[in-house]
Amino acid sequence: MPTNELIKGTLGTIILKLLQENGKMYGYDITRVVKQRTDGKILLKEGSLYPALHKLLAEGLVKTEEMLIGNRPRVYYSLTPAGKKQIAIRTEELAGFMESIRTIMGIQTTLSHG
Amino acid sequence: MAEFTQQYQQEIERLVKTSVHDPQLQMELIDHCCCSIEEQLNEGMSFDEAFAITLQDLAPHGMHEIEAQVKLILTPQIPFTMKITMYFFGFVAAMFILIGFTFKAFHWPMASQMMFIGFVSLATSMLALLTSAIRFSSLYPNRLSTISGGIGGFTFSIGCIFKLMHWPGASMISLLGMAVITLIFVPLFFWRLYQADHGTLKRAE
Repeated sequence: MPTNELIKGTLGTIILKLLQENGKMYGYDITRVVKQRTDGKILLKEGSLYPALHKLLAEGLVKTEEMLIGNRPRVYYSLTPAGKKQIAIRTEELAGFMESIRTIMGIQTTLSHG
Repeated sequence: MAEFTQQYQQEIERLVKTSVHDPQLQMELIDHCCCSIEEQLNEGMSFDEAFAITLQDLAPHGMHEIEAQVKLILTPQIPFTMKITMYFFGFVAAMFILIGFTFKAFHWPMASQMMFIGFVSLATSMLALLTSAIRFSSLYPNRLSTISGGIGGFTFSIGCIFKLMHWPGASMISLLGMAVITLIFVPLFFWRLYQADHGTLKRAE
């Protein structure tokens, strides 16, 4: 299971991607979808989700909307035009990073076997 | 299957509002906890079990940690040089004051010189702390306590330097510093500790 530190760097991109697919989501909804899609391997624990959401909000990549669900208010997040533009850039960046890590780890694995 | 009642929601609201001050974050955390607990109640858990699991998953170190993380991520970091000044001079101060006091107690030579270096370092460290607390106020949730500690520590250090140098006004300056530390910093510091544990204490009752 990836540690919280590993997830933190990619969380912003994950959130943007999920918002692109689902339109608008609230915090718990994001946690649940991430858990479901990764078969419980990635759990957004220790408050990593809300700092990431608020950072995206401060960067102007997402916007919020408050709605009353039953008797309690809920904050929904959705993409801004700037956020929509960022998805492709960040996804490409993440893919490149993952490829680099794979390459590095592949070299190390080869060496350790050699 | 237990039902999620208004009383449960009020208990969650109380816990969140005690630890978190940002209204939007409060709203989000209350909703998050309610959703998580509702889901677990539907799976047949008791409220207490669901509540404990939710807190463990969301904020194992307390809700205030989430707000601190949000603030940390949104605010600029304290410059490296300022941090180094605080920690380096703080370390030098602790070393020289402690060794100086030991030398003084044993009537060994150079005690006053060492204490002088120690108090000058302490004053420098306190000045850096004060500047940091004022300039990067959002990084200090208990800012009043930090600032009063900084002012008290700085004034007291200056008073001690005056005392060591036999300059006039030494007693008044050091007493003023001590008064700030004792009457403002210490009560605020312990009040903050009590507040941090308040949620936990309420839960244990």
